[in-house]
Amino acid sequence: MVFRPRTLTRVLHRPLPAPPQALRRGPFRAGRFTSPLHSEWVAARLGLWLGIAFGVCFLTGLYSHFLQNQPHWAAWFPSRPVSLYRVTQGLHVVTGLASIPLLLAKLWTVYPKFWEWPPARTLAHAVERGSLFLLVAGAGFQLLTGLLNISGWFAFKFFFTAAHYWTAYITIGAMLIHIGTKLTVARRALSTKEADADG
Amino acid sequence: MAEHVPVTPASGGLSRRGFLTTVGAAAGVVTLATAGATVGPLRRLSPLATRRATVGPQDLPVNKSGAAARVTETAVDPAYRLLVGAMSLSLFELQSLPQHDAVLPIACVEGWSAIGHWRGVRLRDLLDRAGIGRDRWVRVESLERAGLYRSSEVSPTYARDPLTLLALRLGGEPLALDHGYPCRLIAPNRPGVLQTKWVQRIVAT
Repeated sequence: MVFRPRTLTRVLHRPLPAPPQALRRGPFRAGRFTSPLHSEWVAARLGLWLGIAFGVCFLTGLYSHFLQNQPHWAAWFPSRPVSLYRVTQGLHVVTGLASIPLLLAKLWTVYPKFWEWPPARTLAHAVERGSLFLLVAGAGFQLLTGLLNISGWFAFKFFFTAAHYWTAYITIGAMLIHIGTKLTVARRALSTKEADADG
Repeated sequence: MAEHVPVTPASGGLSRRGFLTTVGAAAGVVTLATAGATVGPLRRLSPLATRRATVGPQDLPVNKSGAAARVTETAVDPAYRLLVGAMSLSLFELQSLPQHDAVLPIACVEGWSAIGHWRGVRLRDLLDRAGIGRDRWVRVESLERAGLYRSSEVSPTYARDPLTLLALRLGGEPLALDHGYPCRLIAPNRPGVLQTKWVQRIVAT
């Protein structure tokens, strides 16, 4: 079979049949969420802060991982400055902890979108929403296990380091997809003054 | 959200800017309340810090005690010998080698850190005496029988750093058992879990 990007694009963007209107109840109703705080203007700013925090947290985490399991290709890792790891690991924990209130606020700001109608307009829309599950679950898992670990409360049965390391790739991957899909909206929202913001 | 909504709700709730400021302040408070575990001057502002940098034997925190590592007998055994490659040293012989000082932090993966004043034998001096080459990686092994961090790998960059010590003393006293008596690895820029305590054997890998 010959791979035809155009065919794929057409399939991904073909409109899906709309579900029956009778199912549009409760939180799915139009105008169900009225607070002006559920807005792109707020979400874009919280998203920017979270993106920076997660980026720093991911890079410092990778450094810590490869210091602890130093492969021979990383033999060039310097032993100076003496306090470098103090700073990078302090940043790792601080950015992770600061992300907890940021993530909670971000989720609250955008949660009306979980009841978007119709739930999936196209296949591409469905895939994008599915990847958000990975992002929310991954971010929640990282922040919770990290918090429990620094508190010395080993409430989980799995091995913390391995789980925290591999879930980081899933979370950052899902975050990059999220940034890609929201870039246009976020750039518009970030260049808008609060008083003009509509949504 | 297509329809226009007022920026400040009529009910007098939070404005968008007010909401952002509140969230930013919450993140700032979380940071200040915990960062004292590693940023000294913030210590008194950090009631939620997981560690106090000066609480512990010899004024330095400990994650794993000698009792938890089950070395309370082997570490103080008068027959203790340190093995470096094919070389074997008693504690007295180790104390008779040239001693050096290093002011280095213990920086834990959990985010806390604290400075210690260490004194002991340079790792590179021991490796030279044992005939272990300058380009070799070495493994430092503990008396601890089990445990994830009972040994650690040391790259040549770290092994040859003049600040990397097999420390015998901390703050002018012999190491406390919980800090790794009779001797422990202490190297610059290295996670605390790799600063192997109760060292028994050093081998080239």
